[in-house]
Amino acid sequence: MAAQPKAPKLFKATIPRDRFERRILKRVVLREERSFLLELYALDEAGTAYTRPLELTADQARRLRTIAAAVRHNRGVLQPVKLALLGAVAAAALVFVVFFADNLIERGATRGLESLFGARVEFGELRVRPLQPGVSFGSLAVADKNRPYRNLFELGYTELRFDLAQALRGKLVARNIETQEVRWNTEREQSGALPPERAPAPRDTDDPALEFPRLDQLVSDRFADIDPEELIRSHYGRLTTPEHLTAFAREIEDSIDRYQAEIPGLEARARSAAERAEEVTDIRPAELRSVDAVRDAYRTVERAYLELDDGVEEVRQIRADLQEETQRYRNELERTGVLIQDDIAYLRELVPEFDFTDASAIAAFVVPELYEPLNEQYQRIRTVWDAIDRLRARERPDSPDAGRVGRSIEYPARNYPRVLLERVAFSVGDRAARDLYELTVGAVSSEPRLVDDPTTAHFARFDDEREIEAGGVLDMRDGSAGELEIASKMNGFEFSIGGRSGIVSIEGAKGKYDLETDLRIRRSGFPQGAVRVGLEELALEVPEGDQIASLARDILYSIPRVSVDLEFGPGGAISAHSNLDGPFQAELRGFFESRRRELQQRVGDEAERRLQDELSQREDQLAELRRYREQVEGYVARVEEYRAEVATLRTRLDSRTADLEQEAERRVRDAAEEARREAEGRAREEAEQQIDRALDRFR
Amino acid sequence: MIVNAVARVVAALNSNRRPGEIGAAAGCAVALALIPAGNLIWIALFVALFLVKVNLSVALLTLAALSPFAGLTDPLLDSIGYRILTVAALQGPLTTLYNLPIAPFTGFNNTLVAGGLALGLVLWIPVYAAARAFVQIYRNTLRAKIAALPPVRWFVKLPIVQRITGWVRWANGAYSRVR
Repeated sequence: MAAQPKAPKLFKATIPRDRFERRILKRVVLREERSFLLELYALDEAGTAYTRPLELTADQARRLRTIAAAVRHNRGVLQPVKLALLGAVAAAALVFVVFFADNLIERGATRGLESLFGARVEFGELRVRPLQPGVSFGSLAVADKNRPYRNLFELGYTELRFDLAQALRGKLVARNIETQEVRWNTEREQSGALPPERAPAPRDTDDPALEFPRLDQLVSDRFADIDPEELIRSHYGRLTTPEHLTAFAREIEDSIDRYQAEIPGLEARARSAAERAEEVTDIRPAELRSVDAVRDAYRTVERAYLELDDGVEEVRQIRADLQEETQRYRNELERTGVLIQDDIAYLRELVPEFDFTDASAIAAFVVPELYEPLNEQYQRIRTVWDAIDRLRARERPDSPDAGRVGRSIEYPARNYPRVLLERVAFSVGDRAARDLYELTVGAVSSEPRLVDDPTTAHFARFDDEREIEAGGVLDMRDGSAGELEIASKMNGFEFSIGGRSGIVSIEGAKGKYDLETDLRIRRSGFPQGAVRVGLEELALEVPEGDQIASLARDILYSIPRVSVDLEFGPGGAISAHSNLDGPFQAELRGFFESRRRELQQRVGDEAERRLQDELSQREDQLAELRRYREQVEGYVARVEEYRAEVATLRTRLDSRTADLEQEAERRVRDAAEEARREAEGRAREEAEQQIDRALDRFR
Repeated sequence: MIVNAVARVVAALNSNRRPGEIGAAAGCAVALALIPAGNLIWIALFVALFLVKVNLSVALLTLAALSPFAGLTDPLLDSIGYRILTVAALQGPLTTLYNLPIAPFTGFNNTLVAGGLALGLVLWIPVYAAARAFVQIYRNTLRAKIAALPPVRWFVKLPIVQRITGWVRWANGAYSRVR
């Protein structure tokens, strides 16, 4: 037998009218479901209850179950199950915080501080006190990122109490910090460097990795780095002699080339003159018997003479040119000597004077020893400053949604930065009893503009013999210069240094010193301000035979207290002065002036050697020209000699012609006389014959 | 997932649930879409959705549909928010509120948040009424007509739709049994 379909508890066979209408029917929202219920349930005759048949069909029972579920769902507006679930989650979170908050906060604080300081951070026994609210820890060590085996600082047992109201606003405002011990620059057993994956990324900044200006460069032996050859080489282009000699060399080379080309022509001309001379010198005027022959020979000789005369003139012209050029070059070489002396004078002047006007010799002796401790402090300051900067960089503007940013309306309120350390004060001992250890830090914040006061720090340590007091003010508020001002004072400290070399070489020194600093440091740039060093009870060990060191020692011993004032100007420029500058400078000036003169002499010698080398090359060229001139002189002599020979021959021919002409004239005259006599004889004979005949006839 | 959400919305429209649940879900979704996310007000409203009896499928689907266009209303919200936040009469209460510990997380002093909240609250009632009226009209008149349409009948008979409907029924049944 099949089981009777069972109706849900909500739908009993009889339901009071009020309950049915208010708690069931009202919560059935579908019209067909309401109709179904009203068909199934009917109001009794008394009108006080709804009843249904005792037996239901399976379909009716199933439909009633569905309606019952809907009625239950439509009851009330809250979801009790989800509310309970939310409560359970909140309780679980609370339990989680109670049991695991210490570890979580420690891990978060460690990572946060590590990213701020760029080095390992170690907490000991960190406890969260959520109700105060606050945090306490047994110890805190923050490593120095620049020196992994040193701690930047260490804290002993420390309690931090935060502002609850501000904590609920998401701001970490430390109202009170109590610590039992503060130490810094302590040693570490393990490296404090962060592994590469946890090291903070380099900040995108224009800040160079600045160091404290190197004080040991303040005063240096300026001559030590001067190499005469290098000095001349670097300034060679500015000298007049090389340029002059170069132009001069080109001219001489041109002349040499030109005359070298002329020589074969001259040689050929001389040979031709010789041949021509030989041709005519075979003529024997005495052997010439006729005037015509003599005249022919004379014409031949005359032509040869004219040719030789032309050759002589040409060769003489070349000789004259060569003489003139050689003389001109000689004159230029003589002028080069003057230029060389000018250039040497110029180079000698390049050797700097040792000038103590802006640098103290005493500072040169003292300040290199200050570089390491000052730079160490300076880097530590910059590390803390970096940390404050990183803290500030984390201040994010309000941004309700990455894509939708409206305007934030500010109302009157004390607006705290996200992180604020209002004041940390630590003090042990008593100043009057000269046993004090004191540290105060104030107004360290992630948003300085929201804090009335600038960030300040003050440290003091007094004991019987020594005292150190330092104060710093870092004002990063709007309108401020963004400078860190540091003033510190150290008294009664002892120093002991080993040997060092330099202008003043020593084997060791010890004594007492005090130090005062008054520096202003910008985020980028070198510090500016003053450092004053006082030295007392000095004991110097100087190398034997070192006159300068002995001089320095004597002068240092001459007064009870040496004071050195360093002024740090813009761009790392430093000026230093000491109360011993005057006497020390006077002594050192003589020493360094002699070194300067020695160096000038070396520069001059070297320059002269190099320039004379250049000059000797030109002399060689000039000698070659001279050789050419001698050759040309030879050609001139040879051609003139040939011309003279031909001239002599011509004269002899002239004489021979005259002789022959006289002989011929005499012969003609004789012949004419003979003819005349013959004619006269014949005429006389003929006349006598005619007279005879006439006489005959007449007779 | 979207198909499932749409199916659940369709199921909600046809289920024996109060029309106000859907109306409230639509109203809340409009308010959440108008308020920029990432502040305590938005988170509180979103969490509240899960704690009151509103139809989550309708709320989440409506929120997802409106959020991409919420930026278009920013100039209007900024203007409304600025006017509200600078009303002289409200400076006292707002300053007090501003100084309360949790206040910075609410972002109430942001013009978009304030404007979104104000416009969301104002729109909640008409959106609620309109959605509720739509559900009632749908259930009373449209549902039968739509169900009789051939494409709908064909769609409802699809195996995937049958399967989803089955899942929804099973899930609703399981939820009811748990409660």
